[in-house]
Amino acid sequence: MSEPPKGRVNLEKAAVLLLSPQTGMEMLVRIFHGFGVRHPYRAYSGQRAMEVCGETPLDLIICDGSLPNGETYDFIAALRRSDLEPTRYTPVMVIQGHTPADQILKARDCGANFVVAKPITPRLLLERVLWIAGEQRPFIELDTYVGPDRRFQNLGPPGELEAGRRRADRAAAAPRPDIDPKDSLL
Amino acid sequence: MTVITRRPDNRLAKVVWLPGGKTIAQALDDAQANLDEIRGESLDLLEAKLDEIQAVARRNENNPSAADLETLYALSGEVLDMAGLFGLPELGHAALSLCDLLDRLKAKKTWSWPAVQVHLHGLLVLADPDKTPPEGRQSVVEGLRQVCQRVAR
Repeated sequence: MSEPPKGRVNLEKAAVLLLSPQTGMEMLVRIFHGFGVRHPYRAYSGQRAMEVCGETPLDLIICDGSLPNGETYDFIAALRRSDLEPTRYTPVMVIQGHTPADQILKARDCGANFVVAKPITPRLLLERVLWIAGEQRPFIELDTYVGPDRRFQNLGPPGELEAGRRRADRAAAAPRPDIDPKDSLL
Repeated sequence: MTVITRRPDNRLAKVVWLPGGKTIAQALDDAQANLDEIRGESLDLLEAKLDEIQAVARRNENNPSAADLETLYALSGEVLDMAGLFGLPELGHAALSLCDLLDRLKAKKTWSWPAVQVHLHGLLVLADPDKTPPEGRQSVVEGLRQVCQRVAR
């Protein structure tokens, strides 16, 4: 892959699926339109999201974790275990508000590439999208887990601009080694 | 246990660095401009959610119903959804703390009106950030976190 152009992002041709409850969808659509995504696919349920995955190859999936009863995590786990090539390998980012205690394990093991904690900002989202674009983790299939390899050197997200709510986020401000700090948003 | 390791292409990487697109600064400006178009109505909605949180909580000082607890949790989550996008991150963190408190109280099958009440006060303070300096807002958020952890330990 060629060196990324300095300070630019091109999502015009990206096929992006947004999975969110009705209340948050418009805000997500506005943000991703701003990032350059022309026609993001929208799904309000895990079932519809899975249908979209079966209809078209996707480059990125953004999921709001606040669908009821852990539906978001069920969708991601089902996608990872599906035979929908190549979309089963598509990077998935979860935007997570509060996770009820009875959903924490499900959220941890669903197979998402990255979890972003609310409250979010456009800057935070774009940082994480670019981080995911630079990711080269292998995809692991086990009886108990299917998704990106979780045994990777955790260098954290690219340079934090704001204090995250997780202690690990705040501590891991080091930029990724393969992205020159001056090029990142980041 | 069988472990299968695959190395699929990162499809996002194949498009995001293509020539063209826009500068990162422009992408952020455009996203914020798109959000600003709905800023007024969103802040009105946020205010209505906060009013509803106060009303539902205050009618449940002693014996909250399960339905009202669910409503409070959902409303707090909606405040969390919106707050950061419209320049009120501390309000979002306070709403998150209230979600956490309600979830912990529910799990322990107990109730603490003082802990909920202090969150209601915190939400009111943080909903109008101009009246409190940034360090004061951070202190409020930190205080709410401590209340949550202490009460629902």
